[in-house]
Amino acid sequence: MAKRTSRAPRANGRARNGHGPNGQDPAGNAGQPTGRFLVTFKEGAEKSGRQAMQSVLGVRGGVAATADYKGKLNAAELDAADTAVLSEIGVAIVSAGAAADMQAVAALGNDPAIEAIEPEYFVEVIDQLEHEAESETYLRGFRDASTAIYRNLYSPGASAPVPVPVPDGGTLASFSDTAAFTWGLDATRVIKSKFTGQGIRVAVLDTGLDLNHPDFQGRPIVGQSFVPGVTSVQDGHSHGTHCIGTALGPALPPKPPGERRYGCAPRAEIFVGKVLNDFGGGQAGWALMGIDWAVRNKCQVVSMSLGWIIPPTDPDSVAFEAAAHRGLLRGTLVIAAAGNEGPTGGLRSPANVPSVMAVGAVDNTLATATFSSRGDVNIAGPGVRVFSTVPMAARYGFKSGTSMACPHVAGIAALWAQSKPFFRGAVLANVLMAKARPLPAPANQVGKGLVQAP
Amino acid sequence: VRRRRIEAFALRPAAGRIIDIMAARKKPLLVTLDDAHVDKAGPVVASLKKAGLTDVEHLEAIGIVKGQAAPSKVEALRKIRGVKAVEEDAWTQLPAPDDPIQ
Repeated sequence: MAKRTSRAPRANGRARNGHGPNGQDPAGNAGQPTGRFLVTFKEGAEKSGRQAMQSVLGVRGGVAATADYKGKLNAAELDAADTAVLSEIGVAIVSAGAAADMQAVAALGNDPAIEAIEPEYFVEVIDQLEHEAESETYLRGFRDASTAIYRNLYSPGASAPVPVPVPDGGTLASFSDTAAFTWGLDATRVIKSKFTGQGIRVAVLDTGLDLNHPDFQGRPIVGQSFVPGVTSVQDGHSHGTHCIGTALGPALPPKPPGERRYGCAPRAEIFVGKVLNDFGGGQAGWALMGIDWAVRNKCQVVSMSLGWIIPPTDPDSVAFEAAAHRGLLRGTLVIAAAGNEGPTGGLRSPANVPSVMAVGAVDNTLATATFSSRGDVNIAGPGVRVFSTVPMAARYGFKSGTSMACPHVAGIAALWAQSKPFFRGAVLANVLMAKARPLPAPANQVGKGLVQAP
Repeated sequence: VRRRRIEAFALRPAAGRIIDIMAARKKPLLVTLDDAHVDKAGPVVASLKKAGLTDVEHLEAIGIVKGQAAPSKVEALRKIRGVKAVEEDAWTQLPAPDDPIQ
């Protein structure tokens, strides 16, 4: 059993309407602008961004940064400063007074260190965070900022990510499998990460896992079948074993034959939920039982490389939205494959519902995979010619699909979740998107870009 | 097994009887409880059973009730206090293991 930090903002059963006793959202204001602005710095440009804000906005009270306060800001400091910088996510909150000069705000938007300037909105808050005493105020500010980003990212018509210019005729990148690791782990910077997913629980809801596979021997595995009449989570298909390998495979695959690394979170706890039968078929209800099981077991991440093709005129699934939203409130992020319907097909359910993170697929040049579904995609992952585990005796194999992109994001979510105890639920989703590598492809293909490890 | 039996009926000439069988056949359903009843689901689940929902499984952490009922009973299930939505529990199918796109 993994060690758990008592500071983790776990949800409990009492999180209900989202408006806590100290909530910063006066009733009825949800969705309304607060008058403040959120400034997102470009990766690594926080210092020059802060300087630009001070020179352009002439902020009087100075800039209070979480980095200066060891991750804590109290309410007085937030009020006194014209600007609060949330160093963890590279976002600054600019007070209404400081932002009153719209010309100055627009000028700031042209600064090379600034990625985006967006209005902050009153949001429905996740009230369990308010009862984590130690860094309560910091977390509240962090939560408001990130939930505002969340709203912006999740609302239809949200601004597209800043495109990366690609030289004429050239490609953005070209990654290859090496003897040591897969192209996907390279492109997502997993191989450079110091995090392993230790202490984080990842549930993969799929066809199960080959329990005899040598690459998972000695790993603690919790399994549960939701397929009627099937008690074992043994994978008779291969889809599930491949997905679990990508999300949770070992840092050093055992010899023989001693293959390249292919797994994102080698020390996360493996929760195998068998929600598809050995022919790859399943009811939505089985997947919902799997989400319920993952939430009850406090899994921080759920990976679902499955979906239901729905006519565009059909309403979103109420059940999946409720399940995923209630999961977010309890610290569980559900991540799903966008679908393989290509440019003309919309997202599958449940990837299409707002509280599920939808993952599109890119190839090793970071171009959108031709098969990847278009729509409200949140983020992209490696999904073409992905090397991972398959049931014995083949042991390893290549597969392509948004089904392969999804577990990359899930495994990397476990790395982020390990890095900070408050990277949970919607905050975890925001961090994944805020830290994604922007891509030239439009947002309806790749969302905020390619997932990146911490 | 049940589906095969009904298809066998379909081969018979008595068409009216087939329709009756199909109407009576239970469908798998997903009942989503509203936010106010996720933690107070007991009476709602009891009402669902009373209104004809069988094979009930209550997913307590996410406020969903799985079950089966004849299509004719769905409207009554929708009207129960604490029920946000009643939807059909749909079937999905992955491609075959060797399909190029998964």
